[in-house]
Amino acid sequence: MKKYFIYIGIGCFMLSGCFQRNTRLEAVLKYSGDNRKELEKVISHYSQNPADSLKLQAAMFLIENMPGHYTFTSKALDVYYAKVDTVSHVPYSAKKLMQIVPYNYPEFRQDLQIQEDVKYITADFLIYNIDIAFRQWETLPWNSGLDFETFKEALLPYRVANEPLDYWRDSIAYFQKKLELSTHYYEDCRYSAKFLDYKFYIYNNIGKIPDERLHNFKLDCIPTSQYFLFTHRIIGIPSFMDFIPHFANRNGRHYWAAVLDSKYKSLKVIQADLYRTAKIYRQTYAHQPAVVPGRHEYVPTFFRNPFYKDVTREYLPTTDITIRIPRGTKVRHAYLAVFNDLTWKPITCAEVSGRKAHFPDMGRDVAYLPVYYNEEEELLPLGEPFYLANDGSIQSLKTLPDSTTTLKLRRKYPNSNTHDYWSKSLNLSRFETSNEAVFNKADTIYTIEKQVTLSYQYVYPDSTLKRRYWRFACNPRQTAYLSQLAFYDENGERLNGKLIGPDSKQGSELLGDDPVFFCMIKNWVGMDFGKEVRVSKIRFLPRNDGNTIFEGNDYELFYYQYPKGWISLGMQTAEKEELVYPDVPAGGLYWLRNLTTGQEERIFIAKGNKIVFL
Amino acid sequence: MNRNIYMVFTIGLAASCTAGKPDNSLLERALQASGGNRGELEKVLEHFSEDPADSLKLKAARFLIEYMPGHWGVDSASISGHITHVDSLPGLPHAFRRLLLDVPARHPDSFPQAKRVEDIQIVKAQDLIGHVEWAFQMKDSCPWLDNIGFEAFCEGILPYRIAHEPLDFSHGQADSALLEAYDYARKHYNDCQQSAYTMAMFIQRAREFRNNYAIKDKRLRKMATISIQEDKLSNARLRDLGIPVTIDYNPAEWMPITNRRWSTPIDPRLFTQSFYEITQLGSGKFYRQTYSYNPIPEPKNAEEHVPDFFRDLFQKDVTEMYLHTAEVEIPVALPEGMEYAYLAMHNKEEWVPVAYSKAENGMCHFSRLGVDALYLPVYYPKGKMEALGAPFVLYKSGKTDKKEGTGERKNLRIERMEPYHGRFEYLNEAFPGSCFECADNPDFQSADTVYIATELLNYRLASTTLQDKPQARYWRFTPTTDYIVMAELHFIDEKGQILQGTYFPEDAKHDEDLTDEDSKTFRIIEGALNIDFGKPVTICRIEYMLSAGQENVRNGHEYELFYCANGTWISAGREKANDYQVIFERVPTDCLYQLVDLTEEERSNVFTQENGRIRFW
Repeated sequence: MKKYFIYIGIGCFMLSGCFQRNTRLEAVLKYSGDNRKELEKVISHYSQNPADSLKLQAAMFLIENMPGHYTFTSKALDVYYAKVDTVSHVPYSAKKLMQIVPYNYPEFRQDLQIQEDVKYITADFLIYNIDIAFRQWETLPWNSGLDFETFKEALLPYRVANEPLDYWRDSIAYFQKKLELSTHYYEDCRYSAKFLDYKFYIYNNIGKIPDERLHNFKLDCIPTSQYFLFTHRIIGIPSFMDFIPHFANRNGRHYWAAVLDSKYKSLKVIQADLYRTAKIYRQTYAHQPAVVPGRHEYVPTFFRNPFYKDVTREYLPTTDITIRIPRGTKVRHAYLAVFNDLTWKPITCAEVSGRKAHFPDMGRDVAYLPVYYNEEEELLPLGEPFYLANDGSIQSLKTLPDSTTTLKLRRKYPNSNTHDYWSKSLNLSRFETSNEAVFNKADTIYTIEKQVTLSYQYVYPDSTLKRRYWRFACNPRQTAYLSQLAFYDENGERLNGKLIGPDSKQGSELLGDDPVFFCMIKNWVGMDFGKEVRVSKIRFLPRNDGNTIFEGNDYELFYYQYPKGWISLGMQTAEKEELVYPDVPAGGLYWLRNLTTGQEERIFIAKGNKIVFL
Repeated sequence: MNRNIYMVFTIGLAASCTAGKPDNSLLERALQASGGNRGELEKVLEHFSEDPADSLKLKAARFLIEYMPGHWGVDSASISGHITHVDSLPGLPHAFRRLLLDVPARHPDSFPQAKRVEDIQIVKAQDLIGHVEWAFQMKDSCPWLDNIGFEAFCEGILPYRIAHEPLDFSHGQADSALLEAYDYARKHYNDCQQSAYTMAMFIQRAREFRNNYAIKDKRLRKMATISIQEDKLSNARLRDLGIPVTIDYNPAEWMPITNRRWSTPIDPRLFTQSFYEITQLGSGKFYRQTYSYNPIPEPKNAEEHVPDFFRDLFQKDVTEMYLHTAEVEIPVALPEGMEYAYLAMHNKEEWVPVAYSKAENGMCHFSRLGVDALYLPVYYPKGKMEALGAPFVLYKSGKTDKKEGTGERKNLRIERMEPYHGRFEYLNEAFPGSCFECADNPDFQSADTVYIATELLNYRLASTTLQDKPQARYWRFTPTTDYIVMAELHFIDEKGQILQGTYFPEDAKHDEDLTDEDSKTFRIIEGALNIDFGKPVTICRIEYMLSAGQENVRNGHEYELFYCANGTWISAGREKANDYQVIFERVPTDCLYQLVDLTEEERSNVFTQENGRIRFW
């Protein structure tokens, strides 16, 4: 893949001793081939006036780091770019994002070509971009504290991803009015990039993408951040694209456009605080030291990308970790991996030296596994997993020899306080029964007075009560979230009836068995059994994350043992809402899998009789 | 007693405070300071020395003892009447009790009999042992304390007082509703279990956490000033739940009577600063309350005055957690024998010292100063603050810009007493689309729409001319949202007069607020505002101003402008405001200014001029 060769090329630049500026510049100019004259035009343009010395430095920064930056093009993409050109009534930053949208769609990647900037960029475009960026830096009041080094990465770059190059940077008309109002009258916006940025959050209007094949496109954090980056560059707000490639205690990842404020330490992202983060990286324009694989060594693309910079310590307190490489293991590079999306994912790489690998700036409260890649590109452990605690201490997650324990498991994934409102929503809701469909005269079976857990709950009505209509009525002051509802007769058999009540329409699947279905009950929902019945048991399930133990699902428990990896402790089909695994090697790292359904699973340890998810 | 007065220690004691490092000399000095109470402290140390398993408890006890000198409270015997009165309040929560017992320390004039007593001289072994045991029980039972680190544990959980209340090691029980939420989170929420920060956020967000105890006693309520003691209440309640917290603050807070400080959870996994707490533009230094000692000025000459703020050993400079910082070096000409100079910031009322430096070779080096902030170098000859030079603005590059005038004089036009901030402004977003109509009937049937607003408003009076000069008796303003707050809404006739009408449905109380040309008065408009002018009127222009004009210069008020020269405020004259502005002629340029509303006796934030614009600090 061409990307690969470009990284090789960049690596050559970096390793060929090109650390003196003019040598490096010369190498890039040589590489640019026929486009050399355009790049030299830029250098010449800024060499004429001593007052332009900083612009000259900026131009050289852009040119020296240009290899590796390119535009995607293909027949399909070129047709699509022309369609985007016709879109109107959206900010230009939205149009730039539209250009990027199709890059992950196979139909647009047929015969994909790259146009390397260094071989295609025009002097006119580069000068235009540099002049605008400098004007923003020198004239906008919130940039007065921005130093040159930060400016080069946060404001100067002319591209965000692999979009085509066009004159987008001065398309400020869409934002002009808001910007003038904000900066003229609002003193906080005038002097603080962070506060000014808040004013443009609402302009998250990408508009309709002009190609039906892309209408299922989801605006998640990556395109949103890219959109913000374009918006920031148009307005002149210094920002970077920072990201967490893999969360350390849940699935997924996160990208954001980090705004730099000259006064406030504004680098804070709520996901790094709420979730565990091992590493935070920044997408840079400049080349960063990248991993250079040894001969026949496999190094994942992520670590060979020269445009990622570790910025963890700008966000979090960190700890340095040094690991020992086991004797007999010949590795050039070692990694620390986190558990994410049901597998170990390397999050950082270090060169091995003297049987040690040093990993600086690691996020805390995270379980790590030291790993490496063999020549067959298999990911293999280098040692036991360990836990880096909040205070920076390292705790082994190796099972204790000759020691076993019994694990009682009720969940496979951590429970978060962000779901608190799900169970609280049921407080003071009640179960009632009546022989009237309108429940004018009703008996209250049960009132939920304490906050329930997000698992099956049971109510046992007076078995002498025989009524036709039974209902769940929510607390009138709030909306209740409900997932399932079931009524059982005196023999324990499920009672069948018709769903009734003002909320019966949204509750249509309440009688089913999908634990992640939920509906909002604003009034009541109930059952008409057609005749008077006795109900021995009512079972209801609050809105939940589907991660408790469900009867009938198949589970398998594993523990980690180096060097074998995950070792099964056997399968069980759940007969109730708790699984019991006796004689489990104690003190280790465990993983409970639901083989029937779901994708959220986390590793955990046992502290006494408590399960602690990591 | 002024809460800011702390015992000044000998040079040796203060000099030995090396960031929490255990030091036998520190312990010995503490034991000496305990006087006749030494036996009690030694009992505590002996108690935790008996069992090697108690080594960490011993360390914790040592921490409390070593840094105890300087912590004081009011002697309970000297305020027994007050205590009895407080304890008679029905259902008083524990944290509230602590706060109310701190009232004598904060209002010494009202409690002249109250005596101050050092904790180290009265603490009982049994109480201190019990407190350490309690802290370790919390450590054992609260999973978020497992790996918190010893220093965080000491500063976040161990401190036993919230202010200067009588010495009391008891711990309150949260009310049952909060306890239920807390127990539920401890049992079920893995994120709360593992993180002090997440647990603190969860508890503080809980509805049951909000303080709602009503103190019926008017005098006590006034002295308690609960609304500005939220930080202490929060700390007391969170610590009793085993959640490590401390308090951060800006010593040069605007409106010092609000004295806003905030409770900050301590979690070594994060930088637990809250960006939203420091939204003032005037911030430059932040401090954190600690139990242990921090460096303070130590003049060799005991006669050299050290301001109260810097006689407090128990505050740590945490500016770098919140702000980008820079260093400055300032030449100072101190009188012989004086060693220390300070930087002060203005809090609208006065200059407040926020940083100190020992002079060396005629220079003072100040580090960790928040940037984009305005400072005044000061010193304290004869015990009173005097300027050492011109105020200056510090920028991120480290560059400073002295505000000492250019010698020129120009007119200065002022519209505001405070900066206008966008981050709290949302009402202006609601204005576009607002509709003005007129009709010949009060039901507005077949009403004519004369204008639909398109512009975003700000603090200024805006206007629109009605070219058609519509004529009608009934007029209506309908905002796009259900709720908008307007300071002014003028319907202006051909003669340029603001017409007075009757609003319907009637609201006599606010009848004039929209036409009194006073930006401070306002009216809430929910739904629509209907006006009956009594007869058909011709309207040529409509003027409007949002309630965002609250801190505008007020028409008819008299103002006096001051500028700072050689560290003193000099009057630039008095003028009356009209047309929502006040103009002073021939004012020295490029100085630091402050505007005083003589009619209301209010002061503006200090301000300078940058590129022809007023900039507030």
